[in-house]
Amino acid sequence: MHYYRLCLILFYFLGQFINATAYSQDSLSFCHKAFLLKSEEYAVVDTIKICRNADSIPTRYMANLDMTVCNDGLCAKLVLKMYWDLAGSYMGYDTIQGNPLTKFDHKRFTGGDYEKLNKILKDKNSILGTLENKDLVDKRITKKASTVDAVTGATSKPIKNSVVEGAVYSSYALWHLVYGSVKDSIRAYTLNIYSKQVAKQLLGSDNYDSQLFALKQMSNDDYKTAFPFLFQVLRRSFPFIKAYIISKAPLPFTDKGQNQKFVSLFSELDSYSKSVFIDRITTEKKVAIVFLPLMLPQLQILDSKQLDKCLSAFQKFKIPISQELISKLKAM
Amino acid sequence: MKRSFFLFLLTTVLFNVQAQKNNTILIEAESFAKKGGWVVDPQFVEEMGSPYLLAHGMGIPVQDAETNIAIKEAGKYYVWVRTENWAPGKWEAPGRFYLSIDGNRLEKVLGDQNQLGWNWEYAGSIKLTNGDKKLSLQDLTGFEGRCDAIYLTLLGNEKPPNEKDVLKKWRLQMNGIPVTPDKVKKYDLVVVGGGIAGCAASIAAAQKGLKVALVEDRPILGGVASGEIRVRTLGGYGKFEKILQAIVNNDYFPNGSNQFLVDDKRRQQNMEKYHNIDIYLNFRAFDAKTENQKIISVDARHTSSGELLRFEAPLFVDCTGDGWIGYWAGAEYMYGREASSKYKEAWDKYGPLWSPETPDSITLGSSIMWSSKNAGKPVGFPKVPWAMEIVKDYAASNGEWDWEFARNDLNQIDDAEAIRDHLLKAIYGSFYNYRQQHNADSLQLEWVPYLSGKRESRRLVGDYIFTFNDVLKDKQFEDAVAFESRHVDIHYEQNLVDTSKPDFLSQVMFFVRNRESEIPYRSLYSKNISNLFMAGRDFSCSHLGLGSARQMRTTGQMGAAVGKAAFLCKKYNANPRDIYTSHLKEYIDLINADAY
Ligand SMILES: Cc1cc2nc3c(=O)[nH]c(=O)nc-3n(C[C@H](O)[C@H](O)[C@H](O)COP(=O)(O)OP(=O)(O)OC[C@H]3O[C@@H](n4cnc5c(N)ncnc54)[C@H](O)[C@@H]3O)c2cc1C
Repeated sequence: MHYYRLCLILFYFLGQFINATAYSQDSLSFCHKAFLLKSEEYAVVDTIKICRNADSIPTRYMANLDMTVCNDGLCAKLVLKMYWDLAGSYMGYDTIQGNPLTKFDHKRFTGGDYEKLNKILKDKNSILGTLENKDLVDKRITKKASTVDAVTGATSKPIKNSVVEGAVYSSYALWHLVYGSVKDSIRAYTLNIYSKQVAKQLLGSDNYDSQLFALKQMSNDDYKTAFPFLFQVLRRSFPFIKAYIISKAPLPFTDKGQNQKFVSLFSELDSYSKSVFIDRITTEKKVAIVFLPLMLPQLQILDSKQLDKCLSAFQKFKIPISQELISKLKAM
Repeated sequence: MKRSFFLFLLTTVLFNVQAQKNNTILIEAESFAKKGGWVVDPQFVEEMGSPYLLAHGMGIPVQDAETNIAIKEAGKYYVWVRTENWAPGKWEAPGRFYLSIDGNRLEKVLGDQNQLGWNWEYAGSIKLTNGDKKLSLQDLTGFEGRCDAIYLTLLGNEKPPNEKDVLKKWRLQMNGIPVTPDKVKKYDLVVVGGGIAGCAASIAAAQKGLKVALVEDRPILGGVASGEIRVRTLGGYGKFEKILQAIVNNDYFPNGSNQFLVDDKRRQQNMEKYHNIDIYLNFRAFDAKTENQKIISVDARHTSSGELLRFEAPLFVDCTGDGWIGYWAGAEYMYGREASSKYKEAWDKYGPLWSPETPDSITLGSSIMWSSKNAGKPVGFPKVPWAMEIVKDYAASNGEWDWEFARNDLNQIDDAEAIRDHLLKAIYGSFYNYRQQHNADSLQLEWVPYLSGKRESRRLVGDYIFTFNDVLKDKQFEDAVAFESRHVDIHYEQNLVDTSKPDFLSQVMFFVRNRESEIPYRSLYSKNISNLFMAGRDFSCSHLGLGSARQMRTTGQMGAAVGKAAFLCKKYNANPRDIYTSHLKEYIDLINADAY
């Protein structure tokens, strides 16, 4: 009875994935208030909205930001729309008509500046994360604004690539907003509305951070039921996520076909995932006795380290393998 | 069956070797009298058996290496050369060279065996008369041709042994080297490894009157901080500003600057001011003799001449970065990343990129930084097909700290040569692409070290294991001796999360700490080897603990703290642990009294 239900869920799950697109281009009219975003530093109180597609499935968050960043008596107004995915990962921004972004001395952003800002905001590891406001400019070199009576320092050298030149404080403020508490708040909100559809969207994301968020919500049982779907995720993910899924795979599968499918993945993997794969199938007896015999046809494509690991596991767990094959493999 | 036959063969060879020494000659390439443009590479002795000569010419063939041998029995000699093709494949091997004897070039091109790993290559046969004969190695490529040893024999065309342990014994017997060194040097303290940690340990102990031996396998001191690797100094002085100022002052140079060479000289001069420090450059330690969990002696071999020395002392410091002394002595050690739960080191922001759910063998990677310059006129640079699989179309004209390589399945010690070679391929391939893509035919490689800058390998286990959790909790220690305020700095390979990137570039993750972290003295001596200290990047810490504490000056603080503790050990005839249990107040007072 239980098993039957499980299968139904599984089929539903699979079917949904196959129809899904990575991000639905929902219209903003489906967005409604999720929670308030507060930043005391920039006196921002904005509404973070959650957007849903026509089927009412949540797809992303957005906010209309209106903040003012001041330093050294110079202020910049930042009016824009900001988008996050369901795991709080930054997706992009849009400007709002009549509110261009500006740089030092009220010069407008160029096309290149807009692109650079997007790149900066995508960089989770930006050096901006380690800096304080005071580190941003080198006050020993100053320049004077023509429009107001103010003087500012030159962009400090090590961060030049991590900011839009002339909009250092704005770049810094937006980056800290994107990677500040809003991410946790979004994740908390998402967990409240978490569903299989949400999980599927996140797993299908091309942002490894969002995929990982979804993978971490899965229980051991979820891994069992969802593995057919995870095979597809695994195939199209980066090595880091591939290896994570492999490390979590509920091995051996009860379904023999899945065991075979798992083994046939090996040749497609990158070196990191391969090493995790080999560790998985050579460490535990109950896993090794199923997978090592299935690996026999692939032993010849292993490098010498992988082969050594497999051969010693054959020996350790007393899994039959012909001496002739061993000699042949070693000679190769 | 096969093995016993091999052993039988080997005993026959050994017998002949001993009985008819004049009929066989083994020449260690690193002992060549004139190295020409070849360099001695001692980085991989434990892996492949010996220091070797490397033709490191950045793509331009290097000058011949030469030496004389005395032929005592004339006749037809069969000549074998131990080499490695470091990039076998469907192309001409990168590191090819010839061997000439007595002005006659042997026909076989060497270094091009179509297999991975070190092996004996048959170079050919030659008739030789009695007397001195000149041997010379003629590099053909400038791309890391390598020669470990040359073997001449009258006894038929028998390939010398290549299996690691058998080869080791065979070498000793052939070279007539005793298994234990007969020259013994006695000291109060033996420091192995002359990086910043080893130099600081030596000075701190010498200042307190100890007689110190500092054993370093390179021709210069400084380790990763030296002009051979050229890494800029970070980290705080803690209580040891004066000592650290004397040995490292690189803050103001960019990574890779040749200003580092000036600092090397200054360091050497400052070290030589201490008459009670004997500096043994070019000596690589290879064993530690231990009785009852106590090190009795450390043996070292000169990287060119092969001279053996034994160092005896009541106390030893392992500053090798790789924890070699501890390893040989049987000290407990750690390697790779611990599970995040082990020391509660998880950081949600980065999840398993920061710290895995189950332990693995990933480490911070090794790096080779490099640069190129405009030659002012067109210069050639050969095709490097053997590098293309790694670089694809990636192009670069220089490489910073983030040219870094580590892999779960490659060990930073056992696979160190493959790691170094991978980085060299990355450099040569990317440089080739850059020249092509930018029509930069005047661009020439300027500086490419053949030494890997290692960040992490073995970490020896002490009474305390310093972890990221200590940083998170701002933990304070009664035995705090070193202090670090820079952010915790951990790396991952970019291509784990972006397959458009090559596998030799890393990405940094920073954790900004609230306050200065304290490193306790208990993490600077071995848990189970009673007279072994360790300082520097092989101190007792978790993988993430090293992310916090590996800055150059911090490693220097550790060294200096150990040097001071050694003084108290001598004073009380005590072990490192006793300083914590019985003399802690005096120790901390001593550090404070000598501070700055
Ligand atoms: C690419 C790179 C970038 C870095 N960037 C920075 C930075 O910007 N700022 C900073 O402060 N730190 C940086 N670090 C870290 C820092 O440089 C090192 O952690 C520190 O210098 C290590 O010092 P050490 O004395 O412990 O080891 P090492 O400097 O590694 O010294 C160990 C010495 O022991 C010798 N040795 C090894 N085995 C033997 C043996 N068997 N016998 C004799 N001698 C032996 C080695 O040749 C070496 O000279 C970087 C490291 C690397 C690799």
